[in-house]
Amino acid sequence: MKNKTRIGKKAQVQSMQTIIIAVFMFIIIAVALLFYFKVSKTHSTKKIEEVRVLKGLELVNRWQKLPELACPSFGAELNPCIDMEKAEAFKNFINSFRDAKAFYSSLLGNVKITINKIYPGEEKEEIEIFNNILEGEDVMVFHIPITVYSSLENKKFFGIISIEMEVTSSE
Amino acid sequence: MSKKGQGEIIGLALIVLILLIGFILYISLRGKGGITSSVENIQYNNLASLELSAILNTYVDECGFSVAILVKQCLKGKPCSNYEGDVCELLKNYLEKIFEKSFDKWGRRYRLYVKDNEGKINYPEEEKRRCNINEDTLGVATQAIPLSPGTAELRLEICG
Repeated sequence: MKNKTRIGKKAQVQSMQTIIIAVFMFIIIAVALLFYFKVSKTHSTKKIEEVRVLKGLELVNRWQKLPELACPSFGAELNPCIDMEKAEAFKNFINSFRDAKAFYSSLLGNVKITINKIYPGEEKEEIEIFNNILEGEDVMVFHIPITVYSSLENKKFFGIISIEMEVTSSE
Repeated sequence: MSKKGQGEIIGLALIVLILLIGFILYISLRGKGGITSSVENIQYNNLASLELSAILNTYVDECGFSVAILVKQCLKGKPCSNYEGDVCELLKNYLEKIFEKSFDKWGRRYRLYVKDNEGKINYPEEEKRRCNINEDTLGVATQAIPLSPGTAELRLEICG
């Protein structure tokens, strides 16, 4: 009888030890899996970010090459350049005709484009030439240096083109 | 026998633990390089190129020509006809104003200099804004400046 009791207790202890080790291994595996999924998610987020950045660069290239905005080149290939007077006219055109806005939206997506004339000159000049972003949407912002040309003054300025792009429209 | 069994199970647990740690390290190190650095490289090279070309195209009110020509005048030690001061100082002022409203505002560190002749143009001066010599360069743009005779290479590096 005593032997049976002793054997029983011994078996219980051994079972408990096995269970504890199994639980311990399960916890380690669970932590490792959690870590793995977190790292995978970070990589996926980074890859999505890269695709968006490339799309942003592509948008900048498209916008500054539009004949409606590009500086006169007289046959020569100029560095990226936007004509301020053309930009002002473009803005008025877009605001006056609903179809025009729809056309450029289909071409270039949901974006907001602002041209800033920075230097030389004491005052910064800013023109918002296009805005098709819905309020409340998450946006990515790109600031790209660009030459801004004033045909009235016949001068080139250092400028910045700011592009806000809806995050959802880039996927 | 019980102790032997315990020992075996603990040994197995340790092996599993070591394998898992190795697996985790492998997964976390796997993502370095590849498309990430290619995209970043394109992005920064593009940015440097756009910034440099926009700077060089900028009109200098005091002299009546572009910054590209101002750079050439500075390197050759020549004045500009409408301006009595030091052309290299004037160039530095223009660079200061432009970078203040672009790279400095965006938190980018950079270095603009003439390759193999870093005396006259080596911008910016403040260390906190400038790339360190041993630092990794994220993007580079270059522009040849004809000096007649010879050519100088103007370089803009972005680092971080």
